[in-house]
Amino acid sequence: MAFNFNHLNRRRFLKALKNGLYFIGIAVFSKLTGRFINRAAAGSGTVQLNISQPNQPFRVYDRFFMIRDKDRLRFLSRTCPHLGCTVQWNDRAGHMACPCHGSRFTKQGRYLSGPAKADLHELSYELVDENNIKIFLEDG
Amino acid sequence: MIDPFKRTWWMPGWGEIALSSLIWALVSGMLLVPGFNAHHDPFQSVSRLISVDAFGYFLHSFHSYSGDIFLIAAFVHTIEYLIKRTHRSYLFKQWFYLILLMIVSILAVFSGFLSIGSKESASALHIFDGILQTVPVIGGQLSLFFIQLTRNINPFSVIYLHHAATFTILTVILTYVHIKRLKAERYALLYTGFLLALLALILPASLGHPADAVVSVVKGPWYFIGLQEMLSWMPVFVAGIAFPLIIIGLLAWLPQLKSKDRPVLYAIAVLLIFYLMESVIGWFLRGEGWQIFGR
Repeated sequence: MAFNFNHLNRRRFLKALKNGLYFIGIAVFSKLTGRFINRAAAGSGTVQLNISQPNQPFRVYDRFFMIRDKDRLRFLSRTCPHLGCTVQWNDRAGHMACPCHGSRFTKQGRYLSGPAKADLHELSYELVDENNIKIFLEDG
Repeated sequence: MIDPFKRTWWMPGWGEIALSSLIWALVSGMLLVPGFNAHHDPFQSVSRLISVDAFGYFLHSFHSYSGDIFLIAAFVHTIEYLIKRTHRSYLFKQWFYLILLMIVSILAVFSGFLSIGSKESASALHIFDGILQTVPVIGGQLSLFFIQLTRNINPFSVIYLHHAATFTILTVILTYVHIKRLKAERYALLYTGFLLALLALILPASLGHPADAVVSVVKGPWYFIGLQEMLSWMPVFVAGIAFPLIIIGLLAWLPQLKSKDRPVLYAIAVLLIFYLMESVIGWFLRGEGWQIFGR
């Protein structure tokens, strides 16, 4: 016995089937493409730093600030937690400031004002030898 | 009453100016390819290009302004035809391609700015990445597709490829779909070429600062200053994704509305005026540290 197409004639059924297959095809393609693009998720890079130089309480490097607090070393990422611009040290004002959207941070990297709403990220490091350390940078 | 869109004997139509600017951008862009090194140090390659040869300086400015004039002319052309209500006669598919053309055109010019590798473009790249990351579900993939902000790949080389290939090809194709030709009127081509050459000669385009420069304020390209200002006080998703999507959505809706499109046109106008106000604040009032009246 033929299938009852009273409320859904054959042409509409085939059209619906065709559209359904299109959606499935697009979904599968998107999934595969997304997985392909995700291949680039790399781990953090590192920077090696020589710390045998004369003690400076505060120093600005390309990717981070170095803060020497008695014998404790801290490295603060210069990447603004808002949208990733490079935070600058404002010597005259005595604070760090993002030049893109105006977020401000204390010399210790604590959030002061602006859209960042978070402190500067503190970077971890490990001793390579007594004069050199390896700093782990964040992604990007 | 003066009609700002009326064609005169000396001024081509805005659409023709846009098309001519696109053609000049393609030609000048191709000439710049040998001198530009996106893989190692793009900023240094552009600096060398403009300093070693006066024609290089001219060509860089010419190319830069061709993108700007293309955007301005396309914008005025769009406004002209929105006022004339030509969208009422468009089918949705045709209109959709036009919306897409608008988006890829902006991305084509913006990706050119991002490719330079200056302080401003590096910051803009991070901001663009941050905005893309807020897109639900696919944000990460979008960011990886367009920018690849990781250690393994130079992001400037990726965005440069999108500039020279992806967005440019799409812009050309969608322009052809829109007007069924790529040949500009001869007078418009000469007029626009002369205008661009004059601009390049008397007002050389700024390169920006080197990526490692210490600057107190970073300002993005003029067409995104408003967005930069909005990002300083609005949530990133609202300023970077929702706001442009609302404008695009309203534009896409227009052909469906036929004669009832006035409220939507007013809404678009209000949003554009708001964006203009934000641009004025960002351009003229933001100074050091992106503070109002900062020195």
